[in-house]
Amino acid sequence: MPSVLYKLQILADAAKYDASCASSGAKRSGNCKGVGHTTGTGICHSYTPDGRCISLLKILLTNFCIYDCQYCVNRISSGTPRARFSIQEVVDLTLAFYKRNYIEGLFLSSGIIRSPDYTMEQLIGVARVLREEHFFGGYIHLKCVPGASPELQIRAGRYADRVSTNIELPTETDLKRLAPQKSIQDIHSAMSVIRQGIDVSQDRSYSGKSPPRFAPGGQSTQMIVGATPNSDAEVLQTADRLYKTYRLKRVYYSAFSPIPHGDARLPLSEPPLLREHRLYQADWLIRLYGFDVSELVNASFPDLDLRIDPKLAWALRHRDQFPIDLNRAPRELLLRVPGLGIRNVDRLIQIRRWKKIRLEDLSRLRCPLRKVRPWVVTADYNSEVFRLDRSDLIRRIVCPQQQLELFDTGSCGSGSPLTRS
Amino acid sequence: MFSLRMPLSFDSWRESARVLLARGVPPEQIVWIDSNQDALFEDLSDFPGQTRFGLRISRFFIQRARLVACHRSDDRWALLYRLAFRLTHDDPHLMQLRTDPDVRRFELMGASVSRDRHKMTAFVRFRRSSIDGVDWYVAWYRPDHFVVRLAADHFRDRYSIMNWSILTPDESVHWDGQQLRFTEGIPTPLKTEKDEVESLWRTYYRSIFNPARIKTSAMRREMPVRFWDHLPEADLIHGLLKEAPSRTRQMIRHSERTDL
Ligand code: SF4
Repeated sequence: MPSVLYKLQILADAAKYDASCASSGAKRSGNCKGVGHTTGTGICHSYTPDGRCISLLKILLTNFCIYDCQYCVNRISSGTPRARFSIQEVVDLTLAFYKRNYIEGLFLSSGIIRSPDYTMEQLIGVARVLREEHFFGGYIHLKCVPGASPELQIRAGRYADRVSTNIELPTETDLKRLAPQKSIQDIHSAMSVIRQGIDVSQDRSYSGKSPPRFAPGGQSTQMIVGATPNSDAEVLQTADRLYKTYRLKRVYYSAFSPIPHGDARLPLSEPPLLREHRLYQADWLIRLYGFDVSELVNASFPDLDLRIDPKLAWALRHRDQFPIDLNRAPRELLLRVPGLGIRNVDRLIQIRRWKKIRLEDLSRLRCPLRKVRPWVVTADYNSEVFRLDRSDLIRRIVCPQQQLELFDTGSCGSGSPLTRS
Repeated sequence: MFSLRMPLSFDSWRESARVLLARGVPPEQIVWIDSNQDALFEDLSDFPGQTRFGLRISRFFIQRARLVACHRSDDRWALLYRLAFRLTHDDPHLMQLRTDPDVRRFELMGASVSRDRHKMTAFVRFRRSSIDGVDWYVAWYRPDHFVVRLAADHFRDRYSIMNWSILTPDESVHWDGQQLRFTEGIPTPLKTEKDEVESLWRTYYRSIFNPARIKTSAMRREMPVRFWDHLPEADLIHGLLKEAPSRTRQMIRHSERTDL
C-alpha cells in the first residue's frame, strides 16, 4: 500500500495546474458539533514561491484518467506516476490540516475513472462524509465532472460552497481537437444545472422560507490560454458569454503549463505569464469597471497589448474622451481614468462632496501620479494634461523600470491586479 | 497641560475622552501615557471651561477607532482624541475628507490593524499536544499590533469543539470548549514537539508549488518574512527556489507533450 504521504505528493502535484484557490463568497457560522466556519471573505493561509496562495487543500482524488486531453498531465497516454486516495484518507487529511489552521477547506477534483457518474459520486462521497459525519463547516469546492447526471451535480451543490466546471479551451474547435472525449454541450449543461440550483437557492420570493444552501460561493471555470493559437478577443468573448449565460463568479485563466509555448508576439526570453496577467486585468475591467469586451479587444485589436495594462491601452486609443474632470465627472467616467482603481474612485467621490479635488489629494491617496496626471483636470493647474496629444505620451507614463515590474505583479491569479490601477 | 497616566484600552480612553471633550480641553493640552499604574486623572475642575453635554460623534468613527486603538504606535490615543475633538468642535464631516492628514493616518492605521488581524487568522499554526491525556492545540504567534482580542472570536467560532491556546508576546488566549480566557503574554516561542501532520503539510506545500512560475515578490508581499519563523513550511522556500530552474528544465526535457 502506498503511504498517504506518497499519494499526497502525486495528487497535489497533479492538482497544481488549476489556478483557482478562492475560499470566498460563502458564509457559514460555526457549529458546536464539528470544526469549521467560513467568514465570507476567504483567507490565504500560505503562499508558495510562485506567488500563489494556499487557501484550500487542493488535490485530486485520483490522477488515473480514462480521457486523453492533450494539454493535461493526467491523460491516459501520459507516463506520470498514478495514485488514488480513499474517501476516508481525504477526509482525514482535510480535518488534520484544518485543525492546525493550515487551510480554509478542500478543493477536490479528479481524473475520470470508469464514468463521469462514478467519478462524481466519489467526489460527493468525500463532501458528504465531511459534512454529515464530521459536521465540517469549512469551505468545500468540488469540481463538476461534465457528463455526470444532473442529480449528481445538484447533490454536489448541496454540500459544496463552490462548484466549478472547466471550459478548458476558448473555442469548441479547440476542445474537439485537443480533448476529443469532452463535449462542449456537457460542459454547458453542467454549468446551466448549477446556475439553476443557485438561482433557486437565492429565490425567497414565494415560500418565505429560505431554500436549502446551494453553492453559495457561486460557480467558476478555468480556461487554458496559450495551448491553442487563439486571440485574446476569442478568450475574452468566451469568458464574457459564460459570465452572462451562467452568471459565473469567476473565470480563471491559466497560462499553459508546465511549459507554455513561447508566445509568438513576445521574444522567447520574456515570461508568458504576462499574457495571463493582462487577461485577468481585462477580466476585471469587464466585470467591475463597466468596459465592454469589444472596447478592449476587437477586429482591429484582437490581442491585448502586453506592454501596458488594458485600461491604459484603451485610453491611449481614445484620447478624445479625455481629459476627465475629477470634480465633476460621473463615477463611470472616473473608472476609466488610467491609474484610478475602484477604491480611490469612491474615495474621490466622497471627498469632492466637501471640497475641491487637487493633485495633492491624488498623491495622498497614493494614486500613481505619473499615470493619472495626463488624463485629468483638477482644481489646480495640471500641466501634464496639455500633453494628451503627444506621441510620446506612453513613454512619459510608463518608465522602463515599471515595465519590468509588470512581470511580477498580482498574486494567486485570483488576486486583484487592478486594485491600484 | 494634563497628563493621563493609565492602563489604556479603548474603553478607558473613551471614558476619559468623553469628559475631556465635554470640557472642551484642546488636544494640545493632553499627554496620553499608557502605563500599568492605576488611573491618574488630574483634577479637571480647574479647567476654565463649561461642561457641554450631548456631544455626538459618528458611529463610523467609533467603529474604526476601536481598530486604531489596537495599533502599536504610541501616538494612537492622541490621534484619536485630536480627531474626536475636531469632529465635535470643528467639522462633523471631517471623516469624509479622506485626504486630511489626520483622517488619512487614522484610516491607514485602522487598515494595518485589520490586515494584521487577518494575517493572524491566516498564519497561526497549531501543534497538537496532550495535556492530561486531552488533546490541546497550541500555537505561538507574534502579531504586529494588539490584535489578540480582535481575532479571538474568529478562532472560537472556528475551533469551538477543540481545546486550544494561542500565545503571543503581548497576551495569550485560551479556549477550553466553554469560554475564552486571556492570560499574560509569552515572549518567545515554546519548545513544543513537532506534530506529525507537519511533514504531510510540508509535502503538500512542496508539491503544490509550480517551479515554472516564480513570483517571489508576490509571496513576500502577502506573507512577510517576519512571519516565517513559526510557519512550518517556510524553511522549504529557499530550497524550492534553488532547485526550481533545474526542475523546470527537467520538466521540459521529460515533456511528453505531443505537439499541439
Ligand atoms: S479529463 Fe481531466 S484529468 Fe482527465 S485528461 Fe482530461 S483534463 Fe486531464
